[in-house]
Amino acid sequence: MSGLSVRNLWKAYPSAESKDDVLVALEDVSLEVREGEFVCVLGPSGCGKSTLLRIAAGLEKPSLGTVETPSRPSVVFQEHGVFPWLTVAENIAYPLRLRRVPRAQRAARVAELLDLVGLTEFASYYPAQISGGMRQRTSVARALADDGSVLLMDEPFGALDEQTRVVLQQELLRIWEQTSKAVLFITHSVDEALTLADRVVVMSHRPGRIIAEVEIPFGRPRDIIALRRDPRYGEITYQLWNLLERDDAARDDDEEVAA
Amino acid sequence: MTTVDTRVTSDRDQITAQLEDAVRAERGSVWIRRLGPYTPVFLLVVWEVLSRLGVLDARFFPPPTAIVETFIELLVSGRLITDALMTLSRIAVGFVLGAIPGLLLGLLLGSVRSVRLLLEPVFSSLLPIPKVAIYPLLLLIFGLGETSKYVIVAIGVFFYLFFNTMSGVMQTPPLFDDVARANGASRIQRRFTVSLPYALPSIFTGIKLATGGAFVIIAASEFVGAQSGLGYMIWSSWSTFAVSKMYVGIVTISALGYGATALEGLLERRLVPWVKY
Repeated sequence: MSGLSVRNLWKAYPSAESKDDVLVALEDVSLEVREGEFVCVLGPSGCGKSTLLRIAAGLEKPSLGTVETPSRPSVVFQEHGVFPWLTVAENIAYPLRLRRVPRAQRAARVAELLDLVGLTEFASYYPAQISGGMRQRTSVARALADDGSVLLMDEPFGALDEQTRVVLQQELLRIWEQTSKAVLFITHSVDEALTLADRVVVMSHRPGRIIAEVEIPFGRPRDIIALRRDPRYGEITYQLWNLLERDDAARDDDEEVAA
Repeated sequence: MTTVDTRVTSDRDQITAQLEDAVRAERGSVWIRRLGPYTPVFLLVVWEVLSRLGVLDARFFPPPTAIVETFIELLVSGRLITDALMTLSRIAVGFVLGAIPGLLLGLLLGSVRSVRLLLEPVFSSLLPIPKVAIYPLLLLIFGLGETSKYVIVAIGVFFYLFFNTMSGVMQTPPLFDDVARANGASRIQRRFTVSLPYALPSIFTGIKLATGGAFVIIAASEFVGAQSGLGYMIWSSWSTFAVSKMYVGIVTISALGYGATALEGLLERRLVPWVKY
């Protein structure tokens, strides 16, 4: 197995209200991301999708269930995930430095990655000197430095303006299509999920459960602008919104019953 | 067409001139800004005149020219340089002895909650003790030699570095620690690749405050427990009523303190280059 495998994952936190109670964040989540597959997890805020990623990244322990990966996954975090005290090149080199990769080898790999994300000119800039889009490119390049087989992304483009976001989405696909990485991409954007993914996993409100898996029929390589006039684009958008809304309505009913 | 172009350009020139005026008006008077750096000189001249006229008592406030005279005398005799070097070497050795443990303990307590809960009260309760108040004890333990001076400076410096490092480390956003962990950084690697650089600006604040503190402490210690150094120079001038010499000591100490802080500022700009952005 060279992808990511999550089986019957539960995560509970101590409840703030009562000592004996627990707050269930993830409820029996199982999902599989195969080698070379791009899977988006789509869900409302607070549905535990970031918790799922944190557990997959090894930052938190599962309460029950297992997560299996062939190697330590690389992670692209939300904005502000690059170190402000390191230059662009030093940020990208960070995982290599931790592993004491020899200097010459490190420099060669960093140069390659700078070129890949188009930041060669900005190698010696500090994060505060570059745009938000460039910072996320740095973050992506750093996650690629190790060349592991699993890439986790936690709403990496969420804070960017729409035009920059589309440019970065297209670039991410271009880079990823040259590899065979398994990608798990967390997002709250319907549009982003169906633009990027081979498969969209839809999660419910807390406690986070998987309520549907939707196959995205668009081929590879993808032109994410041309995609928008494909008649299926509107169809899938409608389908995904319906799933989210139905869950929302169900939750409202629950709350009324509780009240 | 040509005439229209000309009109536009001349309008632009006019507007540019108006804009320049407006910007200048916002920056405030040129006159006052140019004068600013000379205010201290002006005050010295006033002092000189008042002292010579007898308005100020020249026994306590000798005219600045007399102080400069004494300064040159002491400089030529080598006395001033010997004393200044003595004081500086005590500060330098004491500083290193206090700063290194302060920084390492700050890093440790800032990042490990259990150690912090256990040990922080110890340091917090020691903090308010006036450092000079334990000097007699240090003299008993270490004698009148140099060691007692190093130790008292080190104790003073330690607290500045310790508390500033600790609070800097504690403010590290958890996201940065997550990034390091997700990249497989060990505990120790996280302290030195995340906590330490994040706290550096705060550490430099500690270094600058510690420098000021070190000068205060060493001057007070040399008053009573030394036969050399600028503090001794000031104190012995008091007992011989050599007021000019006293002023030379005071000015030299403040100049050295200013110089040290300026040097640290340079070092800070080299070591913390990301802060200016």
